[in-house]
Formats: sequence, structure tokens, C-alpha cells
Amino acid sequence: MSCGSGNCGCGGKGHQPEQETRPESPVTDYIKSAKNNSRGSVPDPRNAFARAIGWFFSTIMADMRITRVRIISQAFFFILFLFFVVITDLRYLKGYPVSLFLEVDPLVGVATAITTGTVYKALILGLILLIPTLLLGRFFCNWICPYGTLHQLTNFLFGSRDEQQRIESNRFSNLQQLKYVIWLAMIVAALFGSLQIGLLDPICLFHRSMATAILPGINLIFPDTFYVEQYFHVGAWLIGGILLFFVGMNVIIPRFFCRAVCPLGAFLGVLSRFSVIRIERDPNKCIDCDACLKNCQGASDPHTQLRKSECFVCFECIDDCPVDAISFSFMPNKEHEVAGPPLPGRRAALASLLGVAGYAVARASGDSDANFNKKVIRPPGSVAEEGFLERCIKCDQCIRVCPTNVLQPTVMEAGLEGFWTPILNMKVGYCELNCTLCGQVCPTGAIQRISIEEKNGRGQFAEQGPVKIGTAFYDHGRCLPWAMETPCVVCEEVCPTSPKAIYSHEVTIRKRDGGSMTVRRPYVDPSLCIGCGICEHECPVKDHAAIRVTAIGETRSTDRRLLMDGGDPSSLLDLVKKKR
Amino acid sequence: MPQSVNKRDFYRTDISLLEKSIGGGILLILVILGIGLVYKGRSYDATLYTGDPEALESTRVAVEGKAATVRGAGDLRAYEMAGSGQSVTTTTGKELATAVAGLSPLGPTEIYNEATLFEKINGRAPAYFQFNFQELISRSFLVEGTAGDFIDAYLFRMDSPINAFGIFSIERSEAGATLDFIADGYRSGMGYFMRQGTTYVQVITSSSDPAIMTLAESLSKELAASLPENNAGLEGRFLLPAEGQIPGSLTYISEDAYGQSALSGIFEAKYESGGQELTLFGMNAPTAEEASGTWEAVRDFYGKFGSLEEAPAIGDAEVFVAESFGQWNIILTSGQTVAGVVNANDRDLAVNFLQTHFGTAEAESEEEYIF
Amino acid sequence: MPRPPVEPDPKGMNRRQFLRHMALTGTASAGAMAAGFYLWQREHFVPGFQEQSGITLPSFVAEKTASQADLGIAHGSDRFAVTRAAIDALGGIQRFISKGDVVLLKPNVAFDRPPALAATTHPDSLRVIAQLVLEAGAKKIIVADNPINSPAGCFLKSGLQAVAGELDLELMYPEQSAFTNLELEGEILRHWPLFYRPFEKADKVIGIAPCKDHNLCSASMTMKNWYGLLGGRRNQFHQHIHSIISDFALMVKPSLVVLDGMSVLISNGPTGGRLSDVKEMGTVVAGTDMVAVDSYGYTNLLERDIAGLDYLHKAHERGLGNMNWQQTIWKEVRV
Repeated sequence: MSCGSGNCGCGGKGHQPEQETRPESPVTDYIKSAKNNSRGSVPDPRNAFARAIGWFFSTIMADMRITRVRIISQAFFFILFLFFVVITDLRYLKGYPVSLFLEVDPLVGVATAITTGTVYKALILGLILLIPTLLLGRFFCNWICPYGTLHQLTNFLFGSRDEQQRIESNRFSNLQQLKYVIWLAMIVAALFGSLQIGLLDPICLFHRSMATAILPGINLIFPDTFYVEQYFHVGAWLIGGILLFFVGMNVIIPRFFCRAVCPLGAFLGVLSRFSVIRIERDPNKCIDCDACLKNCQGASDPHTQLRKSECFVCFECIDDCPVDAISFSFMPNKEHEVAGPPLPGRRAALASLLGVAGYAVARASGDSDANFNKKVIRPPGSVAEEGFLERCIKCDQCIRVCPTNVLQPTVMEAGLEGFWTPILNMKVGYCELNCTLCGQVCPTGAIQRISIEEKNGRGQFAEQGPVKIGTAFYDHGRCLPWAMETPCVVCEEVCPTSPKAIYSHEVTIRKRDGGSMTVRRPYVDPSLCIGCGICEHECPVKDHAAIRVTAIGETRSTDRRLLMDGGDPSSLLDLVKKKR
Repeated sequence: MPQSVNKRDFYRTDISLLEKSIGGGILLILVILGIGLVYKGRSYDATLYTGDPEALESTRVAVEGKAATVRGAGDLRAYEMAGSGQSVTTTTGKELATAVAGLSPLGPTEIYNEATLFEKINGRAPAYFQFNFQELISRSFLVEGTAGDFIDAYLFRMDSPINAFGIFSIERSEAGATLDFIADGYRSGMGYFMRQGTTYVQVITSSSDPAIMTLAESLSKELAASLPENNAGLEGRFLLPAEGQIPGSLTYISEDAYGQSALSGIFEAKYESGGQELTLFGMNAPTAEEASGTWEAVRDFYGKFGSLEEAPAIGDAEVFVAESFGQWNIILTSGQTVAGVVNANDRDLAVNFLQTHFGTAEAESEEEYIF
Repeated sequence: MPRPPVEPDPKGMNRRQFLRHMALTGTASAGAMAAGFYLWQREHFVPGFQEQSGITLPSFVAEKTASQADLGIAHGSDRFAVTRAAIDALGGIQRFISKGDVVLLKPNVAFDRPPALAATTHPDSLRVIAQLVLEAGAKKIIVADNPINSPAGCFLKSGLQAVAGELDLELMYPEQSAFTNLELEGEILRHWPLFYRPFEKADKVIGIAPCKDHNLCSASMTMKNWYGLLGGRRNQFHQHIHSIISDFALMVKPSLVVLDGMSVLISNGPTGGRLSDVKEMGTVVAGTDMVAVDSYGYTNLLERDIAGLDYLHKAHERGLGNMNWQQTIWKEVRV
């Protein structure tokens, strides 16, 4: 818990006098003696540690008000989130549940349940948050949510310090209806099988920003911190820009994202209607000073009728009230609250219409259907495109964990619905053969958690053959041995299948100067090609490779297969069987 | 945290025990959660990331028919060659080399079988399959001291001499000049073409420069000498004399010659005689009786579609002369031999021609022909 | 109360202010001029054609007495015993490693394959050589390679990461800052990003290569192993692969190379992928002359005709080694 103490160092200073009046405890005795011993000599790390523990107990635990516990909790989850983000890498991954935040995010669980009719693997953990929210309200927003913590921290560091200004900025605003509109539209779209919550769900958004923009950005400034080789992501500027925008907005409107945009907050706000414990103001004690608004995170009107749907359960108002008029109470007076979300019925109807229309116009573009893009090469183990749009929450965990940087967030390749979903860009990387990390971290099963054996069709999966994600094709006009009298066949060298899907024939050609030379010209065997794209990535014609993988031939879709025998090497298997 | 903004103490100083214990409980949950996560992180199955080594056992069997890239002969091992095609009689380790000065190998020796011949000669391949193609060994040689002139050698191995001759004769160029070092061979503007034993040899030059043609000739002689002689089944071919033969006119007709089912496996050549062209054919039947039977069948055919005339004596052979549609056919048989001139315009010329060559039956032994 | 007399505002600044201000302005102007002239680039240059400089690797070759063998060949079934025997045939590891040396071991970890597929240096091969080196009193062992597949995956899946952890070897990943420009008078290879960080501290270098089929250059053995020391756009190498590989013999002068031919990848190289591509040959060759080691491997382990391996001929002609291994001092043992 040293993290908590570090975070609270600033808060603790104000209480030095109070601390001195406290009775001495064995711990503080120990600290004192340790201090004396180490005076003038090199500090012993063990003493420093003991001092830290001592400080923690004497300062934090001694005055363990609920807001302080909350800060420890926020720090814990924020650091846990960053820890998960950093270790989402083959070198450190081990058995850590790095997608835990996404899995406990109830909006992810509920929305995928709406689109697919199932709750995939660990998404059942969403219940862990759903149940307490029904009892306590939106405590997630100010106790757990790392994105919320980021906003609160930004506002604390860079927001206004003027007390009156802050009170004004924390009054309820009709802008806060917006998040319910967004949430409702997304849920309605989900009913049709288009999962869009990931665009703005705070956990997805934060994961995505870290994976594609923040970590690569830090690594650019301090090389070798997170990556062996610098990672690049298509459209990182946009994702990073959106993060910076929301973070920056805190200076103008505190926690702008949490109050006005967050669809998860909206969802939890709707659930808060049923909560049985809430902040309660005693009107007889209240002197109407509005001091409770000074640090109010949710802009939930604690100074009058509390808006349950907006309250983040941060307890700041209790601490800020000069007359102890505010308390946290069980089943308080119904008259003192606004239970439901501030969303008039006609706005709700408009939101639903937006959801329907948004789905209709996006799907009608045909990007996931008849006009599918050859560049939409999905990671191995991905479900068919329609299912992919039902499951992918655009959290980009797969992009974070990918060891070759091949996974890139789409911009418009997969259509509007597929915005920021992962595709393989062979110019940047390639799909590593003995690797299924993207499926291991995918929380929703858009990329199924397949094993290396299932991916490569080994062992008991030999009968079904390998998972193919596309097929490679040669561009003879750009290929060195085909067009330019130059030996090459790097593609054949790196082709990872056995037998190699790329083979070559030696031909003697007449050169321009009349001489002759022998070169090897490469070919692709479509029954063996798995579309991993290492050929394209290693092709020396770097800007527009002479061999390129396109999505055709992927096993996930029966419509997009290439070969009559299902695009799987069943012909190959026949041969194996014959051999047996 | 935000409390410290104004550097003031809290208004609320009285923290109830309930609040403290709830706080303690929450911290306890966090500690348990932290320990639980570390425990979960530490215990995992490594094969999740490395794959199961035992699953590799399923790859112990090589995939047939998907051999590694075809390389030069020196690089290929026997089993790879065997896997690279369906041909049963694949030869391994063959190296086509030459001792001819002025030629150096360009690229490795290439070997093709029935399955891969298309890659080398494309659409010409089916013609070779008709004659039971077995294997092609090919290599390019650079002509030293030139700007990239080369000579390609192709050795098409067929299943029998007769099939080798068959493909040789159908590809034969009318303009080809016969060779003095081999019976079945000619030289054209493109190079040298020969049949030796079961092999049809092509030596193709990149230009018709005399110096290069000389090198090609040396190479052809060397190749001809290196290949075993084998004329089994080709005896009929020696019935046709070399003298007066129009170069390149010798062909083998496997069946239904001149529209007659009786005539199969014959050799035919055209001759220049008295300013006219004569077509002479010859065949050897397994026995004298069969030869005689064939002769009779042919005679009956011409009797049906023409008129039989009085036959002159040609040695001790049985002869018939038939006129059919204004052309003369004179066919004789003697021992196992059936031979004759067909479609001649001048009866006497044909008779004379036959008398010159078959007048003394069996007198001319094979050895006397110049090959 | 009488008003105090109004002092008129002086027109300009006083002398002290004036001097200070002039000094400031003067310093700033002088500084700007100095900076301007310092940064002034008077000549243009043609982008892409600038002079390049770089570093050349020193020789790590150990001293040799006339009687010591150049080539140690060992046959047997146990990789540990056979590898030790091959090195002992050369005179033992002490010939190459002194006490306190920092030793760089360069395995071939180009692909993310399990050890059984013989596409990478076998972990046991690294283990036995690392043990030998440690027994000889080496201070530290560095293991480094720049794989074709992603480095973390390659080291993990080839099993080398486990060996490094177990024997406390330092594993160096090809991080961006680990590369320096190479300078070499090679046939083709002149300036190229070199994975130099492992060499910074190394006193001795040992190459540990598997014996593999290679689609383009026919075989990947101890010479081709140094490919993993280069970075940049290596895919261009294939246009002159034989020249490049012979340049490697000029680029690195290792103390020792070990060719692990216990299981040989005889087809579908260099990646392999099926057990059917692997053949047990039960041989390890150690040597000081990479060209001789590779020629043995090519003829006796891959069982191919040496006439077909251009890079050996090139290296031989350039005097970088002896292609006719029978002409070197060699010793063959069976364990």
C-alpha cells in the first residue's frame, strides 16, 4: 500500500499538529528510535521502509476518514490499471488477468449479452460491480474507475483553486443529460447487433489510448521503456487527441467526461435508482452555504435534492460541510432525492431513434458485408465479421499485447461500425506463428481464446487444419526476381508453414544485356498459405510489397473462403491420411 | 486529496468507529485483492504461450506432394526428389556436365518428370506424353568469351527407342541437314537434334553463329557418345536406305498408315529419284507369316479400292502393283519384311527404285548403312 | 501642509540602468550572433550520399599453437557429452576462455519455434557451452541475437530464455539503442546497423549455430549465424546472399564456433515447422575456422555437394577460411 501513501503525501501535511497530540504507540516509538539511530549515517533502506510503514499508520490510519480510504482505493486501482497496461506484453504477462477492468465493466458484459445473447468467459465478473451498484449507486466512478481517477487528478492539479469558482462549476448542468442519450443510442444499436459502447466506455477508451498512443508516445521520448522496437499505430493522433481533449476539458468543466459523456456512468446512473444508501442532507442543520459543492465530483446537487443518478459516492460533501448537515444514510427520505436520470421521455425517444438510424445507415454502407474491404484481415481466432461487430469493444488490448505491432486500429477500413477495431497491417508487422496472445487477452471473445495448437492445426487439431486469416498474392510487376533480374525470395525464407506455402522455381532468364542468369521465382500455394503476412512484411519492396496478403481465404467466414475444399488444407490432410 | 487545496483542516473531526471499520474493511478487501492477483499472476500454464511440445508429434509425417522448392540436382536428396512427383523411375544425382572446351555450366542441372515437365516446356509437354515421356534432364551452358550466348542441352528420356524416335521424328524440321556421326539426327538453325537409344536429345543454341554451332556439335557428339545405343524395335527403320533419302523425311507411323489398319509401326521416308519424289515405307513383322499376312491384307485393300496390275520381279520377294486413283503402289514382302513405294506418279520409276534397293533380297546388311 | 516639490521625471534612464541594459542587449546580440555562426551550415549536401563512418569489430581469435586442431568433430547421442568432446578435441575450452572474461554467446534464435523443430539453437547446446565457459572461470556471459520474429517470443519459445534464467546469463534484446553503425570493407556489406551493445564488454565471442537447410543459400550454419548481429533492412541481403554471408566471415572473427548437428533441419529451412523436416545426425563440430566448419556441415551433415555452396567458395577465395576441411588440422572423436 506504499502507493497509497505516496499519493496522499500532500494531504497528510496539513495534519502535523494533530498528529503530535496523539498518544505514542509502539510503532511510533520504533520509528523514533530508528530515526535517532540513522541520524548522520547513510540511511538504511530497512529503516526507510519501516519509517514509511510508521508514517502510514500514524498519519493515514490514525485519521481514517472515508474519503481517505477512497483515495487509497482510487490509487490502488489506478496503479493496478497502469500495471496491467504495462505488463500486457509476452515478457511479463504470465498469468495476470490484464483485461480484468474490462471484464468487471458491467456495460461491456451487458452490452455483449444484448448483442450475442451470451456472457463470454470472465465477463460474468461484471456482476461483481452490478450488484453493489444496485445497493450503493455509482460508487464505481469515484472508487475504482481509473479513467475517473485520471480526470479527478487532472482537475486537482490543473483545475481552478478559487473556491467560489469551483462551487459554481460543480452545479448540475443539463449537459449531463448527454451521456444518457449516448448510452441509450448505443444500447439500441446493440439490440441490432452493432456494439458501439467501446467508443466511449471509459475502460475501453483508456485501454485503447494507452495501447495505441500513450505507451508508444512515451517510448518515443524514452526509448526502450515499453517496447524492444518502437511501436506505431495508425491514427494514434486521433485516439491520443481524444484522450487529451477529455483530460483537458477538466480545466473548464470538472470531470466533463464522467458527467456528460460516459455511457458506463449513464448505465450505472440508471441502476442507481434502486440504491438504498445515499448522501442525505439535513435541511434543519443546513445553512445553505453551498460549501458541499466545492469538491462535488458528480455535480449531483448535494445542497438540495440529491440526484442519485449523478452522485459518485465520493463523500467529499460530508467532509466539506461546516455544520455536519450531510451524512450517508440508509433508506432516507424519498422526498429529498431525484431518483431517476435527468432524461426526459422525448429525449429518450430521440436517443433510441438515433441508435436505430445510426445502426441502419452504418450497416447499409456494406463495409461488413458485400463491400467488405480486403484490408480487413482480422486476428487469428476472430469470429466472423458480423459476430466481430457484435463482440469487439475496441479496447485494443489485442493491439497492446501483439508482439509484432501488426495489429492496428482501423480508421474506416472496416466501416463506421468497425472504427478502431483491430486489423492486421503487414507493412508494420506480421502475425507470429506460435502466438495467440490477442485471443488470450480479448475480454469479449471477438478473438476467441484459441490455443497455439488450434491456431496451427497441430496435435488433436491436425484434422481441422490451421486457422487462416487471409491469402498472399504476388505482384509480379514489383517482385525483384519476376521483374527486375534480381535474386531475392526473402518471402520463401520467412514463410513459417511446413511445407512452405511459398515455393520457388529456378529459371534461367535472358538479361537485358544479352547475358543470362539464374533466378528463383516465387509462387504461393493457397492451400498452405495462412495469411500471416511475414512475406509481405519482409519483402524488400517495402512501400508497397510485391507480395501482399488480403482477407480472402479466411477460415472464420464461409463466404470469404478461396478454395473449394474450404480453404483448409484438407487436400493436404488427405495426403497425410493416405500416408497413414 | 482535494481537501489540501486550501491548506485547512477538515470541518469534520469526529470520525465514527463505524466509518473507520468500514474503511478498514475496504482496505482489507484491497489487500486481499492485491494478494489474489499476484497469486493468480504467478501461477499459469507456460504452454499457453509456447505451445504444447507434444502436439508437434502430429507433424512427424512429411506432407506428400508438397516437396520443398525444386533446386539444382546437387542440392536435392533422394527422398525429396521422390516426393516431388509421381514418376516411378526418377533418377537421382544426375549431373549434366561437358568436357567441351569453351562451355561452362550456367545454373544447376534441372530434372523434370511427368508432373513437372510443363514448367519447362509448357504446352509442348502433351506431345511428349504420347511417347511415354520419362524424364527430362536439362542444363544451360554459357559460351565462354561471348556476351551471354548459351547452349541449352535437353535430354528427354522416353520409355523405349521407338518412342524416342517417334518424338524425334514428329518434331523434325524439313530443313534439317543429316548428321554424319549419328543415324537419327539433324542440324537446323536452332541447333542439333538427335535420337540415341531411348533418349531424344536437343542441343539448342542462342545464335546460329558458326563458332557456336561448332561448339554445339562437339557437345552433341559428346552427348551422343555418352548415351547407350539401343535400337530395339527400330529394325524397320533400317529397311529404308540412306542413299537418295530426302533429309528429314524419315518418320515413324505407329498405326493406321495410309488409312490401313494392317500397317502399323512402319517407317516412311521420301526419296529423290529421276526428278520425282517417291515415298518408301518399310516394316519388320515378328515372323515371316505375319509379314506375309500383312502384305496380303494390304493387297486386298488396294484390290478393293483400285486395280491390281501385273507385278515385276524384284529379287525373290512377293510383289504386287496396284493402281489407285491414278497413283501407283508397289508393295513387296520377303521374310519378315514388308516394304514398298506408295502413291507414286510413275510406275516404272518406282519399280526401278525398288529393284535397285530390294533387287538382291537381304543382300544389304544393316551394317552397310552409314549412320 | 506644504506640498513637497514635485521632482520632474528624468527623461532617460540613469547611468546604472543604462549600463546594465546595454550589457544585457549586447550579450544577447553577441550570443545570437555566436549561435547563428556556430550553427551556420555554409555548404549544401546531397541527401543520402553523405560520408558514413562506423565501427569495426575487433578480432576475438584466441592464440593457437601449431599442434592444436582447427576442427573438432564429435559423434554420439548425448548432446552434452558430444559438445564437450568436440570442444575438448580442440584443446578444451581453456584454450579460448580465460578467467574473468566476459563472453558473448551468439545463438541462432531467428524464429519462434520450439526446440524440437531444430530451427533455432537448441537450449541444451547453449546450456552445455555456457556451463563450459563458466567452468573456465568466465565472469559473465551475454546471450544476444536479433531474430527475424519478435525477440521476446523467439527467446521464450526456443527455450533459451529459460536457460539464461537458470544459469544467470544476461539476455540482450535488440533494442533500438543497442545498434551502432558498422564499417566494413566487405564485398557488399559496408555500412549497416550493427547490434553492437553485446560487444561493448565482451572479451570473447562464441557462435553457437544449428545446422539448417536454407531456401535461398542452401544452408545456414555458423557463418550465416552472424546475420543476427545486424539490424536495419536485412531483407535486401538476399539479393547478394552469398557475398553477404562471406562478408560475415570478415565482419566477425570469433574465438570459437560450434555447429550443432545433433538434429539437423534438412528441409523446409530455415523455418522448419514439422518434425519430418528434422533428421538426427548425432554430430557436433567445433572449430576456429568457420569456413571449414561449414564445409564439414554442408558435406557431412546436410549431405550436399560443396560445389553448390557459393559463399564457402567466396570466403575461401578471399582467404577468410579453408573450405577444404580435410586440409586443416582436424580431430574426430566418438563418445
